Formats: sequence, structure tokens, C-alpha cells
Amino acid sequence: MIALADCNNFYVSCERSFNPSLNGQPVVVLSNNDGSIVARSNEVKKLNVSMGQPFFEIEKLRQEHGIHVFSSNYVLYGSMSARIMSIFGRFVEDVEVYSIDEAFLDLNGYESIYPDLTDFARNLRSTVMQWTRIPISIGIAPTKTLAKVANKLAKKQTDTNGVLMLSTPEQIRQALEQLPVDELWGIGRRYARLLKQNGIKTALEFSECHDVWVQKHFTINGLRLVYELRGEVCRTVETQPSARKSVCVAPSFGELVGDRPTLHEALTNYVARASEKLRKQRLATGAMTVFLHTNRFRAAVGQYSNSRSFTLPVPTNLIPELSHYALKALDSIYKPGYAYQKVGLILSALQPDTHQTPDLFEGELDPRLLKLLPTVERLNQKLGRDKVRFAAQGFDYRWKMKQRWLSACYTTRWKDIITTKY
Amino acid sequence: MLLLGLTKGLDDSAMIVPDDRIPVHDVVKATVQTTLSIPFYSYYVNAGFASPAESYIEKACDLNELCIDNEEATYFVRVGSDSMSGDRIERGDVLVVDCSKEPSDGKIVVVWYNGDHAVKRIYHVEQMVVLLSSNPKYEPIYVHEGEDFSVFGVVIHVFFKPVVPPSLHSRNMIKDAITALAKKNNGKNLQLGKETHSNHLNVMAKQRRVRKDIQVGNLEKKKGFAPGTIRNADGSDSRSDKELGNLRDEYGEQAIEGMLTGPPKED
Repeated sequence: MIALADCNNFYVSCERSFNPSLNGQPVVVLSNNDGSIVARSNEVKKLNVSMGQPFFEIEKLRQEHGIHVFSSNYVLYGSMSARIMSIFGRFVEDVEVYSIDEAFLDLNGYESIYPDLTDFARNLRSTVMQWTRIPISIGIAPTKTLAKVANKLAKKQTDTNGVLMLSTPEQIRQALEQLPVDELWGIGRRYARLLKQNGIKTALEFSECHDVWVQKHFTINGLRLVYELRGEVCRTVETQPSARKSVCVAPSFGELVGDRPTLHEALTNYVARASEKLRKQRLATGAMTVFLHTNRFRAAVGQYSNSRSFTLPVPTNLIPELSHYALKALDSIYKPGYAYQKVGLILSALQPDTHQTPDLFEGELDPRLLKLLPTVERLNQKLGRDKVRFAAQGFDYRWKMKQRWLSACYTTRWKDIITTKY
Repeated sequence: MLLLGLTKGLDDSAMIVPDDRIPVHDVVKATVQTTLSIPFYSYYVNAGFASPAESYIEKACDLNELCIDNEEATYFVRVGSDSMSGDRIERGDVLVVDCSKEPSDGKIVVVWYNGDHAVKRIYHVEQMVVLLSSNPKYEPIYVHEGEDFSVFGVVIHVFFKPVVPPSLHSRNMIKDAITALAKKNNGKNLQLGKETHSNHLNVMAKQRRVRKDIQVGNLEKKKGFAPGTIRNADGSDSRSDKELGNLRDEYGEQAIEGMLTGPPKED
């Protein structure tokens, strides 16, 4: 059996974990830059606020219902996520961390230790609750896809107490009968439309389709999905994290930016971020994409977007090299007279940074550079982010992210830890 | 391992920790290595020789090991009031709180009550929870069912910095101890090391009196002390615009002069 454990309204739950006065209150968490809604408490879901809705649209609702608003505090969420995943690891050996708030647990072989797997799941749930004050839901089933289905039902049905197991064929059949096919894991909007055209409404009907037809229209992945619904394992629990394929840094600007120097400054900072990410994982990048675009939602003003991809002469993770090429690329696609909302950077063709092939013409990297960056990083760890930085990163942070409602980093900063009042 | 971890009593000592746990330094601050290794020698070294202690190096003492039983359930909480001063928990101290421990009767716990976190000693009386402070200024709190109350976790360690300079009380104790020792040694004069507090007493007698209308902040500047060095006799911060004369009146001559002669060694 495979279990899918995920945190209910994770970002909201993290905020509540350290501020219980938010319990029972409507709470939303906003995306980077406070643009749109990325997490809603159940109270907010009832008000028909949808995921990804722009924040300004709910201003009236916010005032009427006193909705509490938070900017996303990824430092806090990441740290709580690590705790929860670690707790899973104490109960089960094979844990696949699937996203920041969900994980697959391989329960095969545990039946003899836990005769009743739902009991085990309830135990896990109450432990996570007590240690982190974050509610989770657990679905248990023979395959990953069915575990997803079970998890969904565990959340929907109030009498399950957050734990649901689908083990017998009848249970599975019943569950799939209830489930609209477009709510299945891996069925996007396009596939959902195709299924609808063919009169397939429920997950059960989809699982009963002919293999050849499924493979023709939904590729091999669709066929795997159908097999999984029938209870045959096609996706196993992956405990080795797959190597990172790319790194992307592209937050939106707090306000629209038109002039080239500010764009340069922003991009240099993103290069610094990306370089930090790469070096943390001991990777070097072999290719880079730089892009920029205006605000697509403002139809009245002129629109422009462009991008430029290229391979680097030598794979690297060093800021001076990366920013040199990134700025050149930006200059080649920059057009004056537009108000830009975003400039971004994608690093791909990642490889371990020890296996750098020296280039015959470019020569080897200056060894002093290799020492410089770790030193700068150590200083910044001590003094605070970006205290020591390249001059091109600038001193004016006009393009910086808006985070008006950021909560405290209760678990990662000494000055932010909880304080008792009396 | 799994069986042990699963019993709902959650006996932490019995729990074997897997290798892929979050390192403690991640819990504190994601980017800084806070694990401080102080090599612990089991042998004394003679200068001039190749260290014979080399082969006796045991392991590094890790403060985390001493203070944290269960990383995933441990949080740090700062004390914001003097309500637990009877248990040596003072404002500004940092509590290590373990949420996996049972908040049984008599434990010091961090709770959430009526919109705030608080640190108290907990007792269960029938359906009611009683929260006791250890400072008589604070009344017991009786929590009834249905109130906005939850236990955050059990306090397993308290961190605090010792108060510098010594209070009047401990200075008197030093004096008494010296007198007693002198008596024992048949009235021989005692030679004290330069660093002892009693030496400050001697210096004090010779030093010129500081004028009484000087403000604490200015005096600190003049003496080259860090702001906040001169404190009230009970160790709490004194206002920087307070006049020295007032401090003398309130807390006695000796306590104040001791501060001026005892240069601060702590940061």
C-alpha cells in the first residue's frame, strides 16, 4: 500500500501554527509580490474565493468578512515543511517528498507491524498535529494515483477524520464512481475537455476505457494513469530526488520598471540568487535564458516580451561570469519605452560543478574567483543577505518584491521567535 | 525503530532517530552552521612536547545534544514577563520548548491563552486547568473547558546570561567569605588575584567620587562602557537620562560604585 500525506491549506496552517488566534478565522496567503491568492483557509474557500485570484478583487470581501492577509513567508513554510517530512521519516523508511506540503509513503511491508494501516495513519496525523500544530490528511491505497484519490476524499468527507483507506475493489470502485474525471491527478484542462467530448464523466468510466484508445489520445502516461486506477502499480515511490533540471529566478517587480539601469540591477541580483542556488547543490550551468515582459493584464498600454537563450562557453556557477552574459543577453532584447513587469533568468543544462571541461580558447577560470564567492557568501550569512555584493547589484531596491503582510520567521530568526506575554 | 516510535505515549528516549533528520542548525537559522564544536580533552597537555593528548581526543561537546531531545518538536520561545521569576525564568531568557512531551501536572509549559502565549506551571484539577506563576505578583489562572486555550509545549531548558556586575547581595557574600577565610588562616592578610570582585572593592575605596547629577548615559560614555552597562541594583536596565544621585539614593552607595569600578567583561 502507498500513502499520500499532505498538509491542509499548508501556508495558512503554518501561519496558524504560531498564531492560534487565526484558528477559525478567514485567512489568505498571497503570492510573491502580494499579487494573487495562493492559499486559502476553509472559511475563505466558502466565500467562493478561488486559487490564483488577484488579491485586489477580494478587497470588498476582505473588509466585509475581516479576512486576515499574509504575504508568503517561504522561510517559515520551508522550515515547517522540513520538520513534517522529517517526522514522516521517523515512521516510514521510504518517503518521497513530492512537494513542499505533500509526500508519498511506501507502506509495503508495514502491514505486519501495523495490522490496521488507518490506525497507523491516525497516529502519524496526531503526532504531526502535536509537534507542529499543522493538520494533515492521509489517503492510503494500492497505487499512487489511488492514494491521491483517497486523500482527496479524506479531505472532502468530514467523518473520515483526515484519514481514508481504499483497499477492497468495492471501496475503490465506489470512490472512483464519485470522482469527476477532471479532478484526477494528471488530467489537465485539455484532457478534461477531450474526455468530456467522449462522454466520460467519472474516474471510474475512464478506468474502464480501452487501453488502445487511451494510449492513442492520452499517450503512455495516460495509459499508466488508467492502470494505476485499476490498482496496478506503475509509479513507484521515488526516494532518490531526481537531479535538478533547471533553476529559474523571475519574481515580478513591485512596480513597473522602464529604464535599463534598473533592469540591469535587478537581473544582477537574480543572477546572485541563482548562483547561490546552484552552489548550494554543487551544480554549474551550461545554458542560460534571459527574458523580460510587460504586464499582460494591462491591455491599454504597449506590450512587449522577448527572450534569449544561449549556451555558455564554460559551465559555471560564478556570479561575475553569469552576470556578464546575462546582461549582454538582456541588452540584446531590451527595448526602451515600455514599462516592464518582469525580467527573469532560467539556468539549464545543469551539471555537477566538479566536472568542468576547460575550454581550449576561453582558458580555465581564474582560481581567485573560486575563492571569492564562498567568502562573500560566508560574510553574508553573518551580516545578512546581500550585505557584501557586486557593485552592479546596486543600492536602490525600487524593483524589490512587495511583502506588506509578511509574518515573523518564528523558527529561523532569533529575533522572531515567539515571545510570552505573561 | 518504527515500533518504538509509534506507541502513542511517544517515549522520546526510546525513539531512534533516523539519519535523514533535519540538522539542528537548520531549525535555528537556515544558512548558518550553529553547531559549535568544542573539542573535549580527557588529558592535560604539557607545553613544549608534542601533545600527548592528541590520541585522547574524545568527541566534541555539542550544546544541542544537551538541550534538545526531539528536534522536530522543539521550538525556542523568548520570555516576555517576570511572572516565573521564582523559577529562575526572567524576562529576556530563551526557553527550549518540546511539543512532544506530556504537559503533566507540575511541568513548566508554554501555553496559548486568550490571545497570547504565556509561560506557567500547569496543573489539572478535574475538568479545569490551573496555571500558576511563581512570582507572587501574579494570580493563578483557572482555565475552564471551551476557553481559548491550548498547550504549546513543555519547557525543557532555560537559557540566560548571568547578571554582570554582581548584585549587592552577592558582593556581601564575597565579603563574608573573605572574612571567614581570613579568620581560618589566623588573621593572615589575604592576597587576592587581580580579577576577583573583591579587588574592585579595594579600588572603589580609593576612587574619587563621581558627581551625582551626571546622567547614566553620559557616565557610560565617559567611562567607555557599552550602553546599558550601568544597571539598577536588581539587574534591570536603568534609563539613560537617570541621574546617578537618584540611583545612589534608591539602591545604596555600594551597589552603584561597584558598577563604576567593575569594568564589564561581557558583551
